[in-house]
Amino acid sequence: MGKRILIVDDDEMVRMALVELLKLEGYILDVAASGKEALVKIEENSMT
Amino acid sequence: MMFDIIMPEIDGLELCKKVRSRAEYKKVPIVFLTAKSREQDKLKGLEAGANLFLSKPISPEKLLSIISKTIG
Repeated sequence: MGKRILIVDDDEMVRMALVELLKLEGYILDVAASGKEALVKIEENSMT
Repeated sequence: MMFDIIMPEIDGLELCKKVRSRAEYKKVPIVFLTAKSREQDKLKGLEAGANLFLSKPISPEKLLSIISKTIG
């Protein structure tokens, strides 16, 4: 299974570009559009 | 984890500190990818607990190579 990466950026274009790029390399991506959203995701499920 | 720095409310630096303050995330690789590029910004990023500080723009090839080295 690929490694998970959480991408946090408020720019949707940047998020999409990073997701597309890293998906091709086999990583499993999570995204958050703000620090707040990232903290919620981290709280909900282990990102380690 | 890959964080931007300039974001409303909680910025990347604050987010990084918050993540690092949790025991289970002490060792997770954190990379900043930001429009900031000054030496003092880099220093702040590393002080916040990040492993790496990258400045945009960055080529996809360079980014992938750095990510695979940092995250595996």
